[in-house]
Amino acid sequence: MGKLLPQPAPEILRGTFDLLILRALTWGPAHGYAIARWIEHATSDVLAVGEGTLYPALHRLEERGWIDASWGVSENNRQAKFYSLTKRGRAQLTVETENWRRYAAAVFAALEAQPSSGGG
Amino acid sequence: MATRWRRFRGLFGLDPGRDVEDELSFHLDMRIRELIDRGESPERARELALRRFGNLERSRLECVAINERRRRRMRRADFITDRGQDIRYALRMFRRAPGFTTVAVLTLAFGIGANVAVFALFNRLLLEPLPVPEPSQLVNLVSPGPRSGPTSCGSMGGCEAVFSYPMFRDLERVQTVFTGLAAHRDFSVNLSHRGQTTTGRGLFVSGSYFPVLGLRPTLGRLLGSTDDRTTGESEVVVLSHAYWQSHLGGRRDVVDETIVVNGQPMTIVGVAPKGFEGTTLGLRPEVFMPITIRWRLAPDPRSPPENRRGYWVYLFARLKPGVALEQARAAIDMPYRVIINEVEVPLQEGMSDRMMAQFKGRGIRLNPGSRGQSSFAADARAPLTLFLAVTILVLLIACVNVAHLLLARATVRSKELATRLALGATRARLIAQLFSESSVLAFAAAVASLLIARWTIGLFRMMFPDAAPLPELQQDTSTLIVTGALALGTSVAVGLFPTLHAARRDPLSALKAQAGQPGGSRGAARFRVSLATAQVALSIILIVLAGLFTKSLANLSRVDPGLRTDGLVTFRIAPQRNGYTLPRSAALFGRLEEELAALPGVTAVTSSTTPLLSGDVRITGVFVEGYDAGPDADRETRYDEIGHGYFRTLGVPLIFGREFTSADSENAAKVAIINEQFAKKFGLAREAVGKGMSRDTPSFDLEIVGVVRDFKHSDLRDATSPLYFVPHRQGTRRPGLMIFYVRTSLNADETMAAIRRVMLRLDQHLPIEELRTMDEAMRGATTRERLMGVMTGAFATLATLVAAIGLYGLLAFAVAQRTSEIGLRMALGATRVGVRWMVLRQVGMIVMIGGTLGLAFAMVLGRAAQALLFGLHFHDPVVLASSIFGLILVGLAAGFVPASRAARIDPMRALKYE
Repeated sequence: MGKLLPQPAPEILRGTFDLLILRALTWGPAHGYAIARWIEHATSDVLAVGEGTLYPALHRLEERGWIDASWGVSENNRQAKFYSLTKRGRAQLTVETENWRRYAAAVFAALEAQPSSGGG
Repeated sequence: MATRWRRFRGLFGLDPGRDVEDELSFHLDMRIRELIDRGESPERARELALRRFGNLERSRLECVAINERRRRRMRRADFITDRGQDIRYALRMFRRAPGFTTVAVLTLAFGIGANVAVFALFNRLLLEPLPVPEPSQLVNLVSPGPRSGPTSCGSMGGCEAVFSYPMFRDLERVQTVFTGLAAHRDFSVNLSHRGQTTTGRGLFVSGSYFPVLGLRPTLGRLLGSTDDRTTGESEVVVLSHAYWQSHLGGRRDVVDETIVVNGQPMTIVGVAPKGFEGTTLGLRPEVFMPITIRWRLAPDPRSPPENRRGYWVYLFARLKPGVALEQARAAIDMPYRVIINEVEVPLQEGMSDRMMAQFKGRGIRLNPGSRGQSSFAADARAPLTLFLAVTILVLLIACVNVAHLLLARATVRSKELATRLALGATRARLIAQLFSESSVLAFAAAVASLLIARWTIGLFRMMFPDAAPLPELQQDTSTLIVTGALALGTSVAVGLFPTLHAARRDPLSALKAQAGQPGGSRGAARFRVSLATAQVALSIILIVLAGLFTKSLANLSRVDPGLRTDGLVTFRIAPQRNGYTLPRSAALFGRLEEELAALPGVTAVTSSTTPLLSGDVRITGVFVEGYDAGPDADRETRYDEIGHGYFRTLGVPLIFGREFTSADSENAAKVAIINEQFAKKFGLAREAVGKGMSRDTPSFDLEIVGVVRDFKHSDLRDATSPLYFVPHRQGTRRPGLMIFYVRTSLNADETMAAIRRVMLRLDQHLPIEELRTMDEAMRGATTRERLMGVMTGAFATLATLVAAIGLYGLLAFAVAQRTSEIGLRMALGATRVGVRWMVLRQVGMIVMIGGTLGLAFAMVLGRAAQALLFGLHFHDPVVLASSIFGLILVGLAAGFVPASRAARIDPMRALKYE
């Protein structure tokens, strides 16, 4: 419950946020709230999702054609806007995931590396 | 998927603002509910949810902005998709109606193509600036006013635009407002390079010529200020790009090679830039040479370099940046007036006081020079403008015709359109669909029109090789822009009325109409009548113009030239340009006359220094014994220097005295022959023979030995002018160009072949120019009339045919529609003659209204064309009456069949059918 209060948390990287949204939609169409919840859950709420930036991000992804939106009925019988992954979005997710892996691996490798002798 | 979403949204018409609000409030509600479930109070839950969300307003605005952007983009994409659909639909429809499509596209292509062709000519001849940097800075110098002394002007501009060579040098020295002052003058050249001889034009230019124009050479260098320092030196030549390509194969190693110009070896120093043809339209010089070499290449004893009273050089200049035209004029005018008054006034002889006062008042005018210097542009403006007007008429006719066709189709299709309207298509969508159809037609026509334009110009060039400098059609941007604009205008003009008409229709009434009966409403009928009226109006305009030009041509061909042209062959040679000295030239001329006279079938041979009926004139002032009309009297007359036997060969009758013989040689007493007009002007009645006359001074050293009947010497169109002749062997200047006339009793082709053989034997390097029959030469003199006659005639025929078909279609349709009504009338006692008249009355109305409107327009155009007409006024009664008569005949012919069909209607059958 305390987790719902704003806490100091690492700022989320822009591209990473899009990646997480796309990932959230791989399990099927979802509305914005469900996406936010999934990201909280999946990252153990370590990353500050920034709900205020979630919706512009969703609309921007829709504009790019990576996700599609349509109005539907939510689990509690309310009108909600559901987002789903398009074919292009799915392809984009694969590419981005691979990029992210390479990026993270490189950063890790750099952090673990010993200082080189000739450097300076 | 994206499309489906768009449709969904479009159907429910959600606005993006509401959409975003709903979405965000759903999110907050869910969060609040979650917090309440965890035990928070509703107020606290709301506060926590909002805080967790962050800046709600900014988020909302950002989302709305993204959606708005997306919507705009989609609407644009929709528009493009819809147009694509329309066009595909139109193409499918046209594929199903190939006959209609072919006729419509060809009609429009012809209309657009003719306009593109004429516009290209118009643009090339009258609008396009010289291909030089900043052409608008160029100005041409003109100095109007009287003067005395030999004046030589030509295709480069009027006689007010020629200056003396010393004046050019003075002005060049004192001027400060121009970046440079350039002088130039054309001359005839014989060029010989590696044994190949050709004839053409050359340009003498000052060293400042190329720098003022700001041109860069293709190869080597252009002429500069070091090339025109000393008279008679600088044996250098710059070739035109076209000559370099066609005669030297575009070799890059031609610099420093020798080329023989008019018999003198010169060194090639460079090649002018591509596309540069000098600064005079249609002159197309092959070579550019320093002006200082002029006196060696084309000697002119009357205007030696230091002669201030010999006027022959054309001047133009480039304004310094920022200098206004009037400022420059004032700045060059002042020193000019000083030179005139201080230097030139004392040189004048025999001027009356009045003329001297006018001479002292001479000043300089600057004319815009961005299109170079040319007298052709002024001559061509009127005919070309008329051409343009006529071709625009043709395009209008084509548009009306295709609009008519489309309207007929629209009537047939009215059920289809009504169905679509009833099924929910908006009128705007339907109009867009119909416009897409006319646009498809127009743009297909535009593509075809480029071909037609090319052929049209090719045809002009083929039919009239001697006409003005007709350019090749360049498919450049301006041509393409004009074509596109015409296509656009055409598609609107063609599509507008059928479209409006179709869209206005009430869907129910059209659906109710029987399938076999095209539902022509009153509006449609009225519209069709106005189209037919417009066609009639347009065709009468063309008929009248064609009539005017045809009669003009007929008048011209009926002009009696006063000489016998049949069996007469002419050609010209210019041996001096191949380096002949005067005695050698004279010997060649004598030898040639002898050999020609000895040819089989040749009955007479003669020569002259001015070509007949070419428009060339030589003018001088003369003194005639016994004629004294004061110092300012008009003493002007034309003259020519001719060979012996001239009048006998040409078939011009002598009235008094004798003609020149071989005895009238250089050393014999000087003699002259005059025409009737000369005798009249200078007060010589029957006693002309034996009187004395002279030119320049009253020495009376020429004895008049004969009087000939007036004949057309320079131009068929002119009234005969005073004219006198002297033997060229006693002439004032060395004949550089000699024109020969050979009268033969044999076939002209055989004689021409024989002439070629003689020339080859005498000097195979000497080109023989313009070898042709006199009849051909005369046809060349009537090119303009024939061009206008042929063009307006062809267009008028076409327009009338189209109008007749339009009328016929209209009437046939009307009769078919009114079958039952006519049947009823007949059943009620109308006679067949009455019915026939009823139909013809409708034709009569259309012809009368269209004819009147058209005639009014024809008079406006005719007045503009007056200058092009020969021997008739633009409201010539015969032309007008026969045009009207022709139109009535066409109307009757178009109405005859429908009228008879109406008269043949069987009342019983017609009524039963209903």
